[in-house]
Amino acid sequence: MINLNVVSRIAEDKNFFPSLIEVLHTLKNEGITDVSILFIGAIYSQRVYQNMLKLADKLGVSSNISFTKTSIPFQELNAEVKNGYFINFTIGQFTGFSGLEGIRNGLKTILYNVDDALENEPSTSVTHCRNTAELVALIKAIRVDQSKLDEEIKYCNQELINQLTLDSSSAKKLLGLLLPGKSVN
Amino acid sequence: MRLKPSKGFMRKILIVNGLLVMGGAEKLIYELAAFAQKNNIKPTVLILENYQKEYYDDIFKQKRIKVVRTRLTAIKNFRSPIRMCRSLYWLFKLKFLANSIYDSVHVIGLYNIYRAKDTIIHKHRFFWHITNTIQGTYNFPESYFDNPEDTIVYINPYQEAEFSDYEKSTPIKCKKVLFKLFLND
Repeated sequence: MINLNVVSRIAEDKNFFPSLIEVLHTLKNEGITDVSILFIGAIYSQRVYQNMLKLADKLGVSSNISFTKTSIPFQELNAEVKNGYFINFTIGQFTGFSGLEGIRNGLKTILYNVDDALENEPSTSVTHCRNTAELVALIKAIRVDQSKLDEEIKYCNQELINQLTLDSSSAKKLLGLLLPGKSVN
Repeated sequence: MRLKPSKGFMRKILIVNGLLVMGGAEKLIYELAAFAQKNNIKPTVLILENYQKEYYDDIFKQKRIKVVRTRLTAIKNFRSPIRMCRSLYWLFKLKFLANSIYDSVHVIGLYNIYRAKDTIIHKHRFFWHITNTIQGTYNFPESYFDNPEDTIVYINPYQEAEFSDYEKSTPIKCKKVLFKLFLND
């Protein structure tokens, strides 16, 4: 069983969920039914939530999705959930705080680009899926050799975190934003 | 990167938002405030038009980060005179004294500019841009960006490109700077 998790408010401005339900459908059509998605986050939009339920029902994958219906801090997720894979919506190569926090908490995080206009950008990381086809391929690869893929995902995740730690020059730049016009050494 | 502590005088910054729920914008507030504290700068988090206790309130309390919840518009509230007096106090303070109290003001999310534009008068205002067009087309009024002393802070390079397009129809007089998302140690 492959457990996927998505940490996000169920809201209009985050509504990239249908493509994930379609991923489950694609997998199902290939005979893969042991993949599930847990949506972790408060429901801000009933419309988005109901549409997700309807789409899952229409595509015959209702039993493969579930919702916490409330936001849960990473630290409070149970071990089974933490052991799954966290899909994080990205804009091209840009990862928001939910992805970064997940990685910082040691969670295996898959980055999934939701901006079609950026799907042709070069990808240098196994964890960065530029479109649904790449996400499907990654899930299938995990099913084939989970331990190998886990190692690769963890490695790529750590690389990302290293890039987002403040080095001395970016810390100096940030201080310049907080204290404009003051000399910062 | 640390700023040398100055004797008997602490630098101060103000961070403005409308919520302290579990979310990316609020995580940015947390990281900015934590970075400020590490550098002997006192952050104040101002939550406008929302008196409800939320996820980060306790976290900030533990870190001794001051959170102020008040209202700067529609402040007439005779059923709660204390809140009304507090609103008047902050309204006066932010309109006439913000420049002398705070080194900079940081508004999180361009969608929050309306809360601060005419009520927090300061020569170093930073508007942190935390969304991309795929989450909703930019439809901010021109007046948001008419002050050359204000600065828009992009958190990813895609926003720069998106704003270049947006500028074709909306004149932007603000300065612009790119600063990556970051995690403190």
